[in-house]
Amino acid sequence: MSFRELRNFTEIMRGLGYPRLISMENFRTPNFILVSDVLYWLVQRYDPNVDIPDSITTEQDRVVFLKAIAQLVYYKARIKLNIKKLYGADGYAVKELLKIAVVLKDATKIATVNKEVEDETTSANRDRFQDNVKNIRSLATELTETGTELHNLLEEELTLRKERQDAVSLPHSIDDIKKLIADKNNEAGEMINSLTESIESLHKNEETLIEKKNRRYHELEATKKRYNLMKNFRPAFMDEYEAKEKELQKLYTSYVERYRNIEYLENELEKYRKAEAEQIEANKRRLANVRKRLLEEEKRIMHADILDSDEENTGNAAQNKGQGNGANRNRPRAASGRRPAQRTTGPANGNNQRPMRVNPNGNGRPDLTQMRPQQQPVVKGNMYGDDDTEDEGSTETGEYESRESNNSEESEESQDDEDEDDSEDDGESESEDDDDDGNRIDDF
Amino acid sequence: MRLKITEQQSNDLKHKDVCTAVGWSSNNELYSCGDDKTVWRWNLNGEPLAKVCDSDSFITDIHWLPVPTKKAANTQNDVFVLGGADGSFSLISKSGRIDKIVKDAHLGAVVCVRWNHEGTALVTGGEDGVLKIWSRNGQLRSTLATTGKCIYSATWGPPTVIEQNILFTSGKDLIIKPLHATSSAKQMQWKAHDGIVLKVDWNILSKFIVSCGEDGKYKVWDSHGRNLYSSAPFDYSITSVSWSPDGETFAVGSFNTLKICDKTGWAYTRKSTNTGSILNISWTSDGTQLAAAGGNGEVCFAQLVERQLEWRNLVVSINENLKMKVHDILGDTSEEIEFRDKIIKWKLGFGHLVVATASQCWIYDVQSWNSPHQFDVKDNVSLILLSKKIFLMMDNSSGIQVYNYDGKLLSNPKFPGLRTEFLNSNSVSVSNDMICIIDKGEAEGKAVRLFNLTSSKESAEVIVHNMDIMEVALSQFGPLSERKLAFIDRNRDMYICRVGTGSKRPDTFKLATMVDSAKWNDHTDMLVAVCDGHFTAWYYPGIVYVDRDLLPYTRTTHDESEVGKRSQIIDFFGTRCNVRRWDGSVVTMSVSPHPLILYELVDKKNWEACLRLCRFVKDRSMWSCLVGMAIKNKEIETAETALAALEEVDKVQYMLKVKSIPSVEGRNAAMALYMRNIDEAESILLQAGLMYRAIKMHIKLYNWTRALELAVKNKNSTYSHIDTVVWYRRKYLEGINRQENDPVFLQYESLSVDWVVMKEKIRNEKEKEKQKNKR
Repeated sequence: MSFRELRNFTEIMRGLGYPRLISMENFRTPNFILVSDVLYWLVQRYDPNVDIPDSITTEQDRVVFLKAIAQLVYYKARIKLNIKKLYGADGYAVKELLKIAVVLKDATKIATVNKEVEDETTSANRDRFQDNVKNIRSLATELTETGTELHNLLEEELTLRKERQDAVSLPHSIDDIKKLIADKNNEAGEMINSLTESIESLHKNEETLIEKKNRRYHELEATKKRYNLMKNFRPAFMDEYEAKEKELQKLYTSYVERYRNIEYLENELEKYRKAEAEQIEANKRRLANVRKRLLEEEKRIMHADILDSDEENTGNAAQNKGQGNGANRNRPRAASGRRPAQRTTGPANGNNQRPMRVNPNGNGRPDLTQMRPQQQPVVKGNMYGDDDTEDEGSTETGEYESRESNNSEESEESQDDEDEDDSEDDGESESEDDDDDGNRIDDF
Repeated sequence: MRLKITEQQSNDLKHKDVCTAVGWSSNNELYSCGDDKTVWRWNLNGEPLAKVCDSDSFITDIHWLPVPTKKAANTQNDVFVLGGADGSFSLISKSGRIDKIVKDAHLGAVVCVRWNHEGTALVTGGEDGVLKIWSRNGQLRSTLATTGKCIYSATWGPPTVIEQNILFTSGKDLIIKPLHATSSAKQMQWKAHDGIVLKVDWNILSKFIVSCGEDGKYKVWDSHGRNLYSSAPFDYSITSVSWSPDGETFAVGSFNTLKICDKTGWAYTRKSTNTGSILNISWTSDGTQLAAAGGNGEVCFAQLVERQLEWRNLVVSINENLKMKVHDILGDTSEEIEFRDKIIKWKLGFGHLVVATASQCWIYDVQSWNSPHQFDVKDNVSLILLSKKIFLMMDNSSGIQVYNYDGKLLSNPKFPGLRTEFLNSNSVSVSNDMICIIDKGEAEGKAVRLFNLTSSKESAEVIVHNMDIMEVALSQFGPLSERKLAFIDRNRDMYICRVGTGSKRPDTFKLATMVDSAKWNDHTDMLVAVCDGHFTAWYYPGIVYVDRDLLPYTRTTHDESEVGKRSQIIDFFGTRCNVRRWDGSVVTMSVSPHPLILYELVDKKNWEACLRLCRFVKDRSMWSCLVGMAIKNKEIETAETALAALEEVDKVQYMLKVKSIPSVEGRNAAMALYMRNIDEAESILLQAGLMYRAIKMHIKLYNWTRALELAVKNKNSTYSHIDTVVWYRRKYLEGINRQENDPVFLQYESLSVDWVVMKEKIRNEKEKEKQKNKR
């Protein structure tokens, strides 16, 4: 019951190709079924024809089985097995099993080595043959040819053999042979007669057939002649027919021409009608326009009468409206919620530019004067624009503006605002903004 | 990768019976033992040299005393242990002299013998199911375990400071048992195979366990006994497994079969041998060659050949041990390089190829293959890591060395408790100016040590984590101040951490969970990782330290199931990333090329072009990256535009406000505040003397105590702002309807605040700042 023996046994059995995998632990507990299976298999390796009772159901059966195995192994391989240990089917049984297995393993090992040695000897001879390869090749083909021939002949032999044997087995006597030959002679004579008769009758047949053929040939000649005659004959109505045909052709061309003309004229008519319809439509529209204009004119004259006194005011309103529109036109981009990059940087730039614009002051006054008129309306527009948009009540822009104003206040705060005339009240509101600001940073 | 196998002629086998075990000595000679009671010595090429000794008993196992370095391998240390079938084991010197025989160590055979990694203790497992620990001299120290079943294999676990585990087999189970019963760790036992477990091995670097059994399967486990891989059953039981020293591959031996597998389980190659069952496998210390003990007495040698590396347009392959072939795919040209001795480690990348042979190191520039730099190495190189300007080489005798590509030694960092044999590519990382190493000594793998190479001394930084750190990676891009460390801990959570700033308390941030592998880009700050089986890329991980809200935008996840769990990222050069899936197939993933261009433009400070690029791409991730980079570089205009594009209205407003601050310092402080660096913002302001601004900042942050502290500290200057702080505080408490209960503020209870005076002061401060700035 040793680790080494178990390991070697499993290894050897694996090498020998035992179909079941044997585990190292298989023999830790008695396992008679496996032992018997291994034994049976090993003995089968020794002698495949061996006959051993393979029943191991009862104790008696097992003993009988082991005895038979042990006897067989002793006679065949001169190995003594300890049946008691085998019956135990534990680690000690493995030792017994190893005795057989080792012999088998060594045998296979020697066999493989021998095989290799054989391989080597043949390879040594190979060099000698190398010289007359051609010769060997021709010989080889010859060999196969003769072989096939022989084979074919031998195949025939199977059928021939029986006849030959029959022939050999018949009793022989000269009289019989003579008689047989005479009979055969007679038979042959009769056969010759009948053949000559048949030849004669065939000759007759041939003659009649040739005659028949000639007759048919003559008939063919006659009919051919008649056919040629018929071909050259022209019927009387043919001239008239041809004249009529030409007439019909003419009539058809004139018909086609007329049809085409009609189609064209119809098309022209259609076009004309369409143009006419359009003309009428245009006239109608023009009339309607004129009527409308007249109506408006009338209305205006009437109103002018009523609002004669407020004339100047309306003029200003129109101007304001124009400005408002201008401001609004700028708004939508901002109001869309998405703030394009230029737009966001815009006011910032404005802030940055403020000190810069002051600087050129020193350099040249004309510059500033040029800039001022441009700048002022914009600033104004912005300032009033805030009010305007709130008045108009467009919510989106309102939101944005409030945000913007918020921002401006923040910037005012941090930048130390210019409008210093703001007093404490202002300061309070500002500080509230600061708190909001604090919240926001926390949110970041 | 393929195996080249050298086998002997079957008619002159040196072992007449089963060859049971093999082991490589420190000078790369193989010692094999068998059931014919002899020990034979072989050279590297598989030629038998001589019979070393005869034994009294059948030999079951052999193991060499591990020596850490070539230098340490003197005669006294060159000892191996033989296990005998009669229950004895013997210590035998290299020459074959028997130093000591311990009789009756076990009842029945000694099945396995194993030195620990330091070579101070020996474990033996016997057929009687007893596991015993012996001293170096063969004195019995303890009987560790008594199981009823034969112990077929035992191995030592990765050593740590406090504990040492032993893993052994018991029937179908595997058992991990701590060496000292007093330690808190408990014994762990689990059913590993359907059949008996025959062999088990535990790698100290990867900390993976591989086991095999009679059910014909081999399985990979992690050190907690979780199954990572289970193979399909073989036709025969698997009789041996063995890790290569670097823990990247392992060898599997079965009946007439030898297989090399990756640590994730898939097979590189499989070779039929004529050896019978392979009972034992042993790797050389450099991991390029292995020997197997055959059940029919044959000793089989196998070399790993046809290994291959790729970088951009270059493919480098080793076909034989001494020859290397470089193939340029673009020009379809190839170059052959021949070496004088065996190639052990090699690495390609960053325009250089570094090859370490057994005695020398060669550095090639990919532009010119004819003029390599070269220097001698003392020991087997175990690791090479490259970065743009420098590379790192590690061996057991000279430790970690940093060279530049001219072959000049730059640094040789050391710290107490550094043991190079426990470090692999995951535990060390190198960048242009810094290397980091997981401290597996005192800190037990819970800390990362950083070495600043510019100062050639260990920088003060030790990043301590609350859990074992498994992988580290340093970013490659930018100057030292931009350096970031990504590390993955035992829970597979990935953290990012700013290093190189010199701050005492590095701020780590958890970037992702369930990360299998992560990698930095070679020349940008992009980071890719495999998270929960998905390939994820962070275009600008530094956004963590700029604006965490934008982090999700800069992250993209490839949702396709192209990579699965347990995938490893092999390399990440340019926009291309190769990922090795768990089944061994390599998937090439690509990231968007736009961030790459963005990085280039930012590097040139071409902010206009950056904006144009982002507008062209129209992608939130690009805008977010730009925000991060712009704010980092204090480009407020660009940041504002980018934030506007992201529709982050509040942040745009803040940027506008920052722009309106008159002083540069004030603006910088505001930006620092945006990046949540309150301390930095405060110090900027205080340094610039902007006291009011600092106080106001704290007030806005509701950081009342600090605001008051600053105000009090500044009491004696022209303007004291105590009243301002108190006023705001009161207003705040009023707003939330609370009473003052902070004792610091209570002492100012009686202070009356004159709003006009206060406002005047504030105005003056602001005016001062403005004036100062104008000057």
